[in-house]
Amino acid sequence: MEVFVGRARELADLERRVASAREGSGALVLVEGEAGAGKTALAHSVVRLARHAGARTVWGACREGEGAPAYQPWVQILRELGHSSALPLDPAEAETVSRFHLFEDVVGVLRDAAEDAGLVLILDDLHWADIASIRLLEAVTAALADSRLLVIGLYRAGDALPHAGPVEALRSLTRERATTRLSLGGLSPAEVAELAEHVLGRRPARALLRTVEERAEGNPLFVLELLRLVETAGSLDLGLPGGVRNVVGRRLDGLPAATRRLLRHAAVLGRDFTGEAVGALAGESVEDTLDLLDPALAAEVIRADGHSLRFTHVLTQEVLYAELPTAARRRLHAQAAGVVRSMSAEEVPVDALAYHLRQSAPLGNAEEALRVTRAAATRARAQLAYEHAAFQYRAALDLLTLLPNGAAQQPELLLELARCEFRSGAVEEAWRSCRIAADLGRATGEGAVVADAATVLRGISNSPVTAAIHVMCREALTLLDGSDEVREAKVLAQLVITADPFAERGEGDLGLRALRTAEATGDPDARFLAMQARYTELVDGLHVLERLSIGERAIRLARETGHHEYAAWGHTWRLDAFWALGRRVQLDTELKAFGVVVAQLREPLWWWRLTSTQAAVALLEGRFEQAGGLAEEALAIGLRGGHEGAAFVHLVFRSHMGLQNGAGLDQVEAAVRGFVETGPYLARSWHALVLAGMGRRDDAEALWEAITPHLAAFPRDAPEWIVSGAGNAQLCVAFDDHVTAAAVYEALLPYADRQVAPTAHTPSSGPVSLYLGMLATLLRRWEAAGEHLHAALASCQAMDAGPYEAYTRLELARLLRLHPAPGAGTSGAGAGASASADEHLEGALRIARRLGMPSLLADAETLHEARGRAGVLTPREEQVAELVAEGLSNRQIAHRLRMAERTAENHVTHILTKLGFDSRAGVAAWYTARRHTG
Amino acid sequence: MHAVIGIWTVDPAWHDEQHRLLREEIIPLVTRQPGFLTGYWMHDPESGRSHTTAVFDDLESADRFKALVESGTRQAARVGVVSTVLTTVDVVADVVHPDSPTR
Repeated sequence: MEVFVGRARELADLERRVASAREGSGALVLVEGEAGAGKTALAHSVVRLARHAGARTVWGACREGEGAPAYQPWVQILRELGHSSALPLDPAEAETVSRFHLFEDVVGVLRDAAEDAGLVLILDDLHWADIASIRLLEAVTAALADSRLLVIGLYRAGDALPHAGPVEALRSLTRERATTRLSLGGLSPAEVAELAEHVLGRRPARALLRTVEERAEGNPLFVLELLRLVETAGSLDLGLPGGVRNVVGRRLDGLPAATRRLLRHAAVLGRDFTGEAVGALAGESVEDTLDLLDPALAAEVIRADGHSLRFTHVLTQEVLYAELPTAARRRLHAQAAGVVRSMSAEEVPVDALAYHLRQSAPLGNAEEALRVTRAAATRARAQLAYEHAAFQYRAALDLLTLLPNGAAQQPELLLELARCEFRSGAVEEAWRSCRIAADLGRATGEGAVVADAATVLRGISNSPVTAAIHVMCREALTLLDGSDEVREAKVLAQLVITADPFAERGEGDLGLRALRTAEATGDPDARFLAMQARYTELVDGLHVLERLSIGERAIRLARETGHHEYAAWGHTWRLDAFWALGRRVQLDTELKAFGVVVAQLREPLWWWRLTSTQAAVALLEGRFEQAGGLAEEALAIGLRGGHEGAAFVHLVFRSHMGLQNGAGLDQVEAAVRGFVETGPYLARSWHALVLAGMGRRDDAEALWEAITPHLAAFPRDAPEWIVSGAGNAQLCVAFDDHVTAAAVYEALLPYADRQVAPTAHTPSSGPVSLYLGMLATLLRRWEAAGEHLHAALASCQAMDAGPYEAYTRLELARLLRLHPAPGAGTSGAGAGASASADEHLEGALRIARRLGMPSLLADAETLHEARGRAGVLTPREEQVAELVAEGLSNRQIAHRLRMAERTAENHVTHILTKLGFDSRAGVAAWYTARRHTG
Repeated sequence: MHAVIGIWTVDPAWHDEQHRLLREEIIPLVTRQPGFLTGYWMHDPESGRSHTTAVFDDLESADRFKALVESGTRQAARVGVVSTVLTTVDVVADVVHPDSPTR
């Protein structure tokens, strides 16, 4: 009989949560407490209440020790719900199904099962869970808030556990909004008294109660065991043992020796066992075994649960197991392996078998232990339980010292381990395993091992290990020496992918070499990796057509292999190319196709990319609110998927939006400052732009002066180069920096027909021609400025880029003010140019008002107000005013404009009179200010 | 009319084999394609790249030919030829000199 007292507050809390879950507000409650704190008893009480309320309840327990298979608690739960197929066991299927996909399916099953009356899941002994099970719990937790599902996770805290991993992994769950933690402390004295009365059937003597209270510190199991000990021994004269394990041990002393011996055998099998298995292990008949176990059942040391038996508390099993000497343990594990094998009707429980074989490996069956452990690893991997597979590979590696030829298998096992670690997201661990494997390969001159070690980690282009992978690739190529084309192609590709984007590329076309080699082998993985590498080489903005072609090839490869991820990359590359080319119709078509593939993949990384792209399109069109919402959504998806770049891309969005609609620039400035302090030096121009956008001109200018001498160091083939160039163009104009402007103009000119948009999932800064136009205006290359700005206007209209159309119109108005069209001064042409400037200004104002762009609106209004003064000067006076602003004397002006000094003097006098200034400094200040505002 | 345009990187180490294949296999194969009108195989000695143009009567024939070329990437790579751009385009005008022997 189970005794449950106290915990009224916790029980009431959980009862409320059951009711909330049934109404559609699910939650995860993590109940922690030391061994014997009554976690399971509490959960049983909740289960009774939930059933009474009409909810369905399902129990999944994690098994102690290393013999448990992956996802064990979930497999139990899904089996109970009639959905055991939700977790795949077929390795072939695992190749095409992603873990996110798999987890989402399980979440779907649970939500459906909860839909009618609510569902309460109990996950017992989570401190023994495999990490993959906890990752699945994370996925379930993320979907709880609007479900009718209550998950109660029980785990032991406080004890020194052999594996800290699960408890560590649980920590991230406590940060989820839907998670609550309940900590079970000791029972109060009154509760201890109540419990004692239940157990003894009478009110206990005060002295006994006090002693039990002091010793057990409110731990219910400890209290129970002490009281049972008293019941058995009749008094406390024996002296009370310290610690709950000792109490458990002492109570076992009361059992017959033969029973205790059998229980020790049972402890080798685990917490759950059958009479048949223990009998087989102990060499007893089933009948004799069950007879011998009767005293243990009577003493409630074990319980019968249908056909199987179970230690009432795991501590009992631990105490019994610890009593076995090492040699006896090994021998019993070897026998247990035989029992497990012989008693499995259909599928052998490979994890349990591997565990028993490993424990008995020193007795001489290490070879078999290794084989079965590898089989357990393969199975876990097929279930996408990468952490569990990694655990099995580590266990396999430990076995190698027992084998005469063990060292030879080490590199291969290390590489398998690295692959599982990498797929579980443990990049550093994976790289460590790769390095050890490579060391071994190097020592034996096996290029294949070094090559494999260099290509386990994928897509690592901006990580602390990138440079080290790059170096390993070079080494692998030397060792391979053309002996293995598939590996060579992969290593070449990896070499390109891991090259430092901020370093000048020494060897051109390595990606092409990789592609040629990969295409010739026909190996799909090598081909795709080589395509990625080639794409990496072509991101400089000048090879857009080739990028389109590579994207198409990746999509074709996806069709050939059924690998949706290749298609997703192919569409991404094509989207990037169309984004950079400013091809709106093609962009929309590609985005639609990409959406279809993303829906098939259902992976957070791809949802993030798709949502970010949609946000970038919304932002380009000036739908700021929608763009902001989508960018937030993308951030949430990216973070949920563990994508490191999500926060950075979100900052880029915020920065773009802030500069356009003025929202949150203070926070953006702080974040950008934080980024550039540790980022590449030249990223500081981004910070300068934000400062300028906030009106902190002096700070921005100081920063600009510090970075301009280094601008040429920014590598031209880095994808961010055009973005940086466009930012620099704005800063040149803001700070009247003619010298830098000339260099930036020349550098940007080859990209005149492109957009400032390296990737479609990040915001566009509009057409390059806009920035060329701004620079040409600053440099007084009027004709070129006009051509660039008209091209920019056409491009913005084709892309439906409202905000950039407004910026372009403002620049056109500014240009036409500064330099009316040829022939200005004669009434007709001058009036025409002026009308055109007004038209552009009006257009800019209209868009700025409609979309809500305060800073653009202010600039346009300033320009609008400035037109009064500007209009009074003749074109010749404009020219003179410009030279006055440059600080030229009348003589210098006369020389420059090929006129008499007296004429120059007259012009200056007229200008002063017309503008109402009394000094040349006033004219200079007015002219300079007008250039900035138009 | 529609054309399939290709830009190819070519490894000169395979020069003889490339030319043999072009003469003996590729040109006869292209010539047999439905809707095929005219084709050019060109080489830019400066960049080391080859450019190809095959003109077809209609878009369907051009696309079918493009798919055929795409299916041969492995064979091409084996003789050092890799496509960098392969695309179908509209032919908006064409002219042949009246005295041209190809007229």
